[in-house]
Amino acid sequence: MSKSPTLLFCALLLAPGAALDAQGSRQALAIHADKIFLGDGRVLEDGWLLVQEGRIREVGRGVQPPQGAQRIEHEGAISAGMVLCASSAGLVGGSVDTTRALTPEARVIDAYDPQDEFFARMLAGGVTSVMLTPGASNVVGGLCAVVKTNGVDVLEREGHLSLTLSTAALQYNRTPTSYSGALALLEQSMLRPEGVLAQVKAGNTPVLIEAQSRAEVQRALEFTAKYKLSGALHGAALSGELAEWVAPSKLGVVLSPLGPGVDRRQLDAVVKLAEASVTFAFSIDESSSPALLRLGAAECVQVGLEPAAAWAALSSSAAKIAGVEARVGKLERGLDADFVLWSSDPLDLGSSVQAVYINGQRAWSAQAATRGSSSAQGAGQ
Amino acid sequence: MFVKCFSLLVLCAAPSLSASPAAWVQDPTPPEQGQDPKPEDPKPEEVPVEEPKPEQQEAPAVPEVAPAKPSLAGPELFLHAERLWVRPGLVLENAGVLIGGGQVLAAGTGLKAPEGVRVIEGKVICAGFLDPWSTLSVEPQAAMDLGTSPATLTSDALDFYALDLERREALRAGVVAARVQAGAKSLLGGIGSVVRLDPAQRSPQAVLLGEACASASVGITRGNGGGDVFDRAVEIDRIVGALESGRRYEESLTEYKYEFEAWQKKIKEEEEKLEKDFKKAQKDREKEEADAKEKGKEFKEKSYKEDKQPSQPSPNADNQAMARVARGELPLFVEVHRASEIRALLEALRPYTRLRLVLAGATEAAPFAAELASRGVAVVLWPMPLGTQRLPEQSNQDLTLAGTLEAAGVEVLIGSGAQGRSTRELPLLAAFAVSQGLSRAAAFDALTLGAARALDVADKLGSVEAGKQADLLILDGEPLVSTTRVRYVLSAGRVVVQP
Repeated sequence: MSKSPTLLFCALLLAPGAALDAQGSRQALAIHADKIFLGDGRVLEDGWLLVQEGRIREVGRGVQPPQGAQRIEHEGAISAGMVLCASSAGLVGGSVDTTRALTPEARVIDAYDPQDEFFARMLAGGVTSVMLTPGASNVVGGLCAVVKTNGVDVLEREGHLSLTLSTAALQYNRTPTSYSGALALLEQSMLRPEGVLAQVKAGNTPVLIEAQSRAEVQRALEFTAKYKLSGALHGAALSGELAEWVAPSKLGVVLSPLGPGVDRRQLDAVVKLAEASVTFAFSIDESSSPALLRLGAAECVQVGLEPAAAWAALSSSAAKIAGVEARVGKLERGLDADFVLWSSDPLDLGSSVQAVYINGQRAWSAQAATRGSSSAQGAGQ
Repeated sequence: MFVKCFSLLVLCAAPSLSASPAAWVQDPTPPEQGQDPKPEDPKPEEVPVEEPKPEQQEAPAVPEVAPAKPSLAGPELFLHAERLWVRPGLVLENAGVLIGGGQVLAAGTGLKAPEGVRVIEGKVICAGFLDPWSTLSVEPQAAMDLGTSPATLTSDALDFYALDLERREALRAGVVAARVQAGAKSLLGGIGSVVRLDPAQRSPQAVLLGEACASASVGITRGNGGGDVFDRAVEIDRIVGALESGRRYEESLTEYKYEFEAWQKKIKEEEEKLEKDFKKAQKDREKEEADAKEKGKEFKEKSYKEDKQPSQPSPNADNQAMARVARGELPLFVEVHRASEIRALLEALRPYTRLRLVLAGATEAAPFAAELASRGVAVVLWPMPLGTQRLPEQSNQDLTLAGTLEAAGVEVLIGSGAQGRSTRELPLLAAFAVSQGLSRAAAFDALTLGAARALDVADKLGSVEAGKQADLLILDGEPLVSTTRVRYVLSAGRVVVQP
């Protein structure tokens, strides 16, 4: 996609948004929908969602919309906005420092480009928050951040510390060049008395560990057990086959992308994770359409994953892994009013995103996109 | 009512059973084999077992897949569901399907399970899905072969012993059959087949239609990349050229046929005349010979000169295949994406009024919706949401295309884009098209009867009606909703997927 339509799209997004901001933020919003997916497995039929000052004030049936609230009648479903875990997109200047193995003090938020086309694309697909991670080429990559896709809000500036225990961190031209080298370096750096790694050791900072193969997952589990670390594994496609070890670790799992034609074995592994009550989230490549997040979820549902668990892995579980479950991921009183209006059940691929709200403000709508430009529409797919 | 006339139904189904199924006719063991037991058979003890009874000998060609079974198929399985999607647009509540001999014997409301027959209960019954754009079951190298020609037969490259896992996955998702193509990305891909995807079935039962369609592609990225705009124009010329050669070839064959007949007729007339005048001619000749002898001259024999035999056009398999396409016997599937190429192709193919054109991919087909509808051109879409990394020809993908085409009256089909593993995603792809404006009814038609019609297998697949093959699905919810799961899959009456 070329840059100019993107900018045009962003401009379209911001212009009416800014106008709304002035008059709309104080005004309450009451949306009535056929179905409301709360995000905890419950689905309300024929319910109301009340929004005030950017937060969810009430969700339920038989709720009285307050006087003067702006009312919207929606024939379809409402859900919380989806949360995308562990993406290295939308970063300027590259997020990859290949010359050093350890960059614990690096902050991915310093490379964050809110204008990047990626965020508009995600927004149009119903993703309202993204956990940004540094690339996987350093053993210790730096601190993750969580941002909203409206290009304004930052939910977390210094989140998980990103570690890599996969071959991605093993370079031929600098140490470490082997797994054992990587672990030795990591163990050594854990001895540092202060800094980010000391915070990790003290249990104040969670980790996000990139581990691809099952051997790498096992190594990561041993490492986190030794230091009693919390956080999540990232990229572990077949970690479900190790569910009996992953579950006691209390680590979450960010799955590698389940793109078209993915192995059946990977789908089965996801079902096993759910059966072992491991918290997990789906992910996609940065060049993908956000619809592929739901495609992966739908494929897992087809082979036995419970729809509620599949939806959680796109929203509440993902928010939990990203450490922002107190703000987003469900439709619950007090949480940020980040939600999506769907034409039907959000897990049904036959359903489309009709509008996306962030902080109670309409950040994207299919109507505006069609009026705007065809490229914006393309982003909505 | 159905219960009462059940025995009648079985009787009605019987003649079609013995006559129609092409898959049975193709059985490699010819029925005559049994009639002629070889005396030099090294295992004489088996002869009495194989020796057919006299009445079997007298029966015409009724090959049997399993010789133990009587050809008069009785009911073997009874399905019952809250909703039966008989065919697109007809849904019956609380209905059943009776199956025997691999076929649907009866389908409708009020049917009861016959005694002793296995019964499967479900929520929804519908026809199995058909992927009109796949390579599953084709030997992978043949599938990607770029050197195919119009006469290349996909049926020569089918491999029923590979990719079992992928085919099982497709079945699990409810895709029971597919149009598969060798040379799927080739300029002229040859003749495609429609095959069943049940890994337990091998050739010939798995082949529903060995020669189902011709295939071509224009302007697509092959191997290291696509050509420039001139290369792509040449591709269209070559496709049209092949079609024209085929047409001319057939014309010259027809001309030859008549010329040859005329020539034969003339010779016959000439012969008859000679026969008739034989005695007189003999006398004349004797007289002339005597005269010549008398005069001491040499006798010259009158010679009869035949007209030159018309020369037969040299046989050409490619032309023969393209002739079948030009006269509309085989549909022509052309993968084409860019608007300029779709326009040029439609223009160049306009004189071929009997051609049955199907566009595949058709990324930029929206401006031609009205023309496609009026010319009866069907379109196979691959509605996979693409991200920022796209092939050049797909850069303008817009998933609202399916709805736009439907609104204009174009027959919309949905395929998995000739990517073997993605065949199992066919129902999910259909759902994506629905999300962007295709009606659910049209999407269901695209995966069942619409695809079967386009591929000339609607007599076997595409709906749940008596006489059709029992390739059916039992679902736990409405078809094409992504949260609906496939519970049972039947392929030729056999339960091949169950919970």
